[in-house]
Amino acid sequence: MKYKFNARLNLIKAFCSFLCILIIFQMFRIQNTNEFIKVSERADKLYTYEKKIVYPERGNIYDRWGHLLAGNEEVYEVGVLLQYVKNANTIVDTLSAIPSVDHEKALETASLKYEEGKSIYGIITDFLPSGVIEALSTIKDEYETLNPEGENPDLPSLRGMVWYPHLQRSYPENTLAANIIGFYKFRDRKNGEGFYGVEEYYNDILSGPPVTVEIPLDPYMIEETPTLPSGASLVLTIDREIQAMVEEKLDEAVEHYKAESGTIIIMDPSNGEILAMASQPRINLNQYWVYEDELEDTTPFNRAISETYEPGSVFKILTMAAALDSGKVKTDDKFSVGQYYDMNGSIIYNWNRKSWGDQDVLGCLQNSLNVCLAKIAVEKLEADDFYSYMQAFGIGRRTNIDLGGEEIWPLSMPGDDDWYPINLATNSFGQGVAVTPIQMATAASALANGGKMMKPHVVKAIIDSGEIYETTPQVLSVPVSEETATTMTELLAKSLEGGEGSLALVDGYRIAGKTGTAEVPTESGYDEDLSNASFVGWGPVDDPQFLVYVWIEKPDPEIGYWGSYVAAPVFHDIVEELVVMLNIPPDLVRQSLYAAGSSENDQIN
Amino acid sequence: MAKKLIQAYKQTPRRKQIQKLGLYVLPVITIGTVFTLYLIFSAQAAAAGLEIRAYLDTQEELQRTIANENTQLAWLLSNTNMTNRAEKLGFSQITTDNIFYMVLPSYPGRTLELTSPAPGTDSEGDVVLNSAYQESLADFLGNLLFSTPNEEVEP
Repeated sequence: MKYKFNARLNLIKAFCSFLCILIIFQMFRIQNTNEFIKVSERADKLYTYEKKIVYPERGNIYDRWGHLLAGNEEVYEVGVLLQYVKNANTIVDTLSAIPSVDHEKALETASLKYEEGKSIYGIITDFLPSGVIEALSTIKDEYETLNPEGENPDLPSLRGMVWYPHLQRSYPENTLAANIIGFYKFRDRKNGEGFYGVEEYYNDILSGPPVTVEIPLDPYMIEETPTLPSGASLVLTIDREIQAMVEEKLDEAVEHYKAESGTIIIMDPSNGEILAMASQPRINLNQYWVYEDELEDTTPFNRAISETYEPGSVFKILTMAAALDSGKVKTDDKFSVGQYYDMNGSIIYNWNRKSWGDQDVLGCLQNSLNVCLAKIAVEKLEADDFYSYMQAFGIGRRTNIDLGGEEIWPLSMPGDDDWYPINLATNSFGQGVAVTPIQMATAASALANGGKMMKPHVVKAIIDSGEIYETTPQVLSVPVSEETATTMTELLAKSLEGGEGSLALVDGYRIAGKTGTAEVPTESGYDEDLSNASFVGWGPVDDPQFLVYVWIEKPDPEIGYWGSYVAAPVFHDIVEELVVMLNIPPDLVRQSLYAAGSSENDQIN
Repeated sequence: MAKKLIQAYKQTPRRKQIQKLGLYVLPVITIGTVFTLYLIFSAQAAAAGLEIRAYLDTQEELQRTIANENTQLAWLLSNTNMTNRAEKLGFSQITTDNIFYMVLPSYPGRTLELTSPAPGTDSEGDVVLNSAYQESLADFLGNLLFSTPNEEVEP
């Protein structure tokens, strides 16, 4: 009996053990077949990790007081999860109400057959605002109530239609400061990049490239989704209110004078900060894709830095500053200013083609006499000194302002193929030489800042990882001495007070400035009917806090032609409001406040 | 008599069967218990993993919402809107004639005020769950039995 029991038990044990060994062997065998390895690898690929593209948040752009000029807003991508689509027609009919949806393409996408590993999801449209998504959600819920799980094919169902949020570049000020900000091509989500302005210049620090990450689906392998550092944010030197005011004045002026375009720059000469920079045309940055239509052919995005032109008489301030600084001309020197100046057979006339008799330095500037400046350049300064000074003023060189798209026109000098002796005479009064408005404003700022020419810049600070890094003002060069700069400022203030630029004067404030009227060069020579009217001025004379450069391009000659009548009044209108915005009291008030014991560092309000 | 009874009790085939069965079942119960504990911990780890995933999704959503809200606020406070509101409220542009200037020695003047976006983290691929929650029983036993002790001692 006992023997029988043990035998049975041993038999059962042996059977169970054999079964176990068989199972283990079979498991081992299966797990080492080629098929298993292939299937396992495929499963790992498909079901272990989910691939996801992470787009770092693009950095914000603020004005100098923290007003958001460029940020990011939430929009939605709408698509179909093919596996769950019950009624493709309902989805497409519902979405067809959205202008960006192409009915045929949407139907094609929604009707795709679900194939695991191949066709799973299709995008129908993108960049929809939250309001539209709310409406879609309501409709989807209503259909779901009527036709639960879309089981009845005769009833509408939006099952399978899904939406995913993401961020899109947004410009709350629309066109304001568009030429400075540039734009980010947010419609290209994979390869979007900044174009023009600070969006282009600082593209690399505003945003990192999108990163593809693998997110494990296995909860045991949960990994932290990389919240990639958002791009650095920029604080611009631009003042939103000043920028808006300047753009308004510019638009009014261009419209009034029926001009082709215009540009205005306001900068702080003491540190090179650009307070406002406006030019035409400006686009709504939220619809950046229209820029190719708005900016025809070679129209630059920002004329202030990309369009070169012959500046005309405003250039005389550089010639005169060079002459005084070199010591070859004194303020009380007299020049015999005839009707014309003969330069080896080439004749240079004054603006009114009349003789002006003996003129001192002030008279030459006040009356903007081409003959006088040509004489000074040719007979006093001579080519070597003249061009050395012009180079020191940055003519023919980039200012390296931190904006994308800066252009220059090379400065022709003795020895160059395109330089002739007559160039020295014409260059002295701003013809035959081309500059961008920012070059001209920067050069003039040296005279407003004791001879130091500061590098113009539009970024005041960079905010990166919660830290603020302020931009350090840089000296580009010191083209003239402080004494020369002070003398020139005084001369230009007197010149305005009794000269052609009197329309630029502002009550209560002493301003230094110079008008400019340049004929426009064409393929067949200079067109006398077209002009570039400009004005550069700064103030207050005893403590310059702003420099304003106005350029009105090709005004209708029947309405206005001369810088003194076209650009000077624009300067006046701007400065009248600018001094209020910058908290600059009238000269007498300011001087009395300082006399009463306040230092220049005290805040006047 | 009592001795015989005890011997008979011990020698009863049924007792022997139970003893043998008990010895056979004991390791099964032990293994079952270990597997049960393993399952419980695994489930807890999985739940924690899913919860962390949900938190990470919420974090991402909140960051998006904050960016969106900031931009929506900027739309409301845009220069055009603020100018229109000021005009509707009867304000007009001040001129130099209407300004009374004074010196405020202790007033620092207008300053920049803004809230920058929170810095992100360079935590790409960092595993969130404690490694103890990720190893299998085999890993655990393998580590316990065969791993060499770490010779480096942290100060």
